[in-house]
Amino acid sequence: MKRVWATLRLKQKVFAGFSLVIILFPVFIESPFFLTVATFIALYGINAVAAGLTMGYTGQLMLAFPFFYGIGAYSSAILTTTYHLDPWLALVIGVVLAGSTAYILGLPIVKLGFLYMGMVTFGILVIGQILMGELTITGGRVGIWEIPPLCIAGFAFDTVTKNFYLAWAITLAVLAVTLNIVNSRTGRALKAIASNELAASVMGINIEKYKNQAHVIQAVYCSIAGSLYANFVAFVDSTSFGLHFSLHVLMMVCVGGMFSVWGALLGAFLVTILMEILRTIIPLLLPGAATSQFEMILYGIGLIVVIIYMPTGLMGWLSRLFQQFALRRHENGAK
Amino acid sequence: MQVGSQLLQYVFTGISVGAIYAIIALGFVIIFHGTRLVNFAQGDFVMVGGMSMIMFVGMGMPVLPALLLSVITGVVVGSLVYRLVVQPAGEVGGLRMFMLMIGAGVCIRGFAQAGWGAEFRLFPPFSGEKPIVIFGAMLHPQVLWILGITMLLFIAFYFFFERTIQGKALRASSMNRLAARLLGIRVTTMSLLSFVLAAGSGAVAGLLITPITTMNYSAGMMFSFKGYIAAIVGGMRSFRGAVVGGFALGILECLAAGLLTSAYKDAIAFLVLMLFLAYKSVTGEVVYGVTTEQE
Repeated sequence: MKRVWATLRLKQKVFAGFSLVIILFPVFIESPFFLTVATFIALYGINAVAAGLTMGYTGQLMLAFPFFYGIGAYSSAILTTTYHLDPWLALVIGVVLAGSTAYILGLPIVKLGFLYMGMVTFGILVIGQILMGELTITGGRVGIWEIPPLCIAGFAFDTVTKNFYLAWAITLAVLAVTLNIVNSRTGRALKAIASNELAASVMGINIEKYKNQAHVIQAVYCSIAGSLYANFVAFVDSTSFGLHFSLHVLMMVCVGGMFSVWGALLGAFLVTILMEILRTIIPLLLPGAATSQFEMILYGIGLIVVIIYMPTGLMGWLSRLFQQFALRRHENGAK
Repeated sequence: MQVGSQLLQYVFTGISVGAIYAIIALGFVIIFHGTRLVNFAQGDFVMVGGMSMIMFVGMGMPVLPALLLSVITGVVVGSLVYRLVVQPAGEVGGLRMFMLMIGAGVCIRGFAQAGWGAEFRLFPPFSGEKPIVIFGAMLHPQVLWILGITMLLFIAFYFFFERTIQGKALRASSMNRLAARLLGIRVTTMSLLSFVLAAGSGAVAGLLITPITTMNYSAGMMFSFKGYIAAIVGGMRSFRGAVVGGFALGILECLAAGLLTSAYKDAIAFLVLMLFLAYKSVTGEVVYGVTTEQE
């Protein structure tokens, strides 16, 4: 065991340590409330990683991710309740649907300039939410209820603890895949596009192809998270896939650091915890006050402060701190 | 005749909504001229204008002082956004600028909800409720106020930016900040001025529209996006384009909402934008990703 550990690189050690924390978490904390919050952190985390990959790494304002999250959730909901398909098959169909939608929509979108792309993808989000709330197949405003849980060979993920493990297993898989993408040729191409498109295209990088790839990856991740969400909560309606959700995820990505995969996950963790704390503290301090207004003020101020004073997010700040520390240690060693 | 007057009715409603989009689009163009920013808090200035007018009228104030005070409130909020958000951030582009302005908007909305509550409200129109009947369609008298003041604002801004030295200085400071500073233009003052003008006109739009539609704290975001779409369709730099774009968008939206269903109303503006960009890319005018003047 020790020998295996010694052969791992730092990145792999971090990943293994993090996985261990996740595995041990329900052993020490059995409260269903905390486990539910932790499961939601995983779902938000997948979305935040997807958003970070497109907006931070690739530098493209692709805001339609709640729409793909909704496609995943509604595919699972409709196919399992109306057509009684296996939930896993429904998840896969949702991923294929979201991916191909993203590819087709991406073909014209990737040609647009920065803010035009933002406006068009935001429009897709708005139109998508309206459609989800109006069509009969999606259950209209009522939504879809009694979605069955996922199960493997008769083992159903029907309790909070089981769902916690399921959600985090998939989040860790997504994380591993993303870390590999980021450190591959594709990842370097995406980073080159973010820093200078003209230079990247001169280097022989097919800008439109890579941008569309990022768009499809975003859609696939969000669709997986959406299916998990639908099977976990057992209920979907269109209000979960709109503006509020996108603001929430953007906040996470900015706070954690949009240029880092781990940062997006850290942001999901911090923002979710903070909001839960806020939701419990404010009714105690100010009885009768609505929490949403304080949530919004805090969101706004937090976003502004982070963007102005911490442009690379908490993760960027931490890694700079770590680098300075390593440099100092190196200098001391040289003496 | 019945169908005709029905259509005319939609157009009348569209004109009043379109005038508001036009004023918001003017605000986008002003701030774009002054700072090269795209100010997504613009719609929230509209909300602040409308909500503070409701508050002042509710306190029993006569219309004119209430009007002045709400415009002043809007201007104060606008200068606060510049001083506390835009100025400390310095020169930021792209994603950071977008998130910054979204953050400013969210913040204003939060304070508005804390101060004014979450319910939809309105106040009595300036000159009565008695509609004017034209060819069987009802024209709310408030619409005349809206149209008149929109035109006044348009003419005032047009003259300010094209004919006065301050207006030219403001435009110069966005083109090249260093060069403008070397010529003796106070660049930060000019940027602040553009925010004051945009916020003031936004507040005017808000207090004009509130008597005929209702207003609440969350109305700002959609106003921002639709006004921005009107400004894009109008060319982003041209005052005339912004006004034309605003009216066109408002009329199209109301026609579509009336003839199809009102549930899809918010989708219309974005569909218009997508069609517009598709048309522009067919004619080869749309910017390829590499160089965008908006970054």
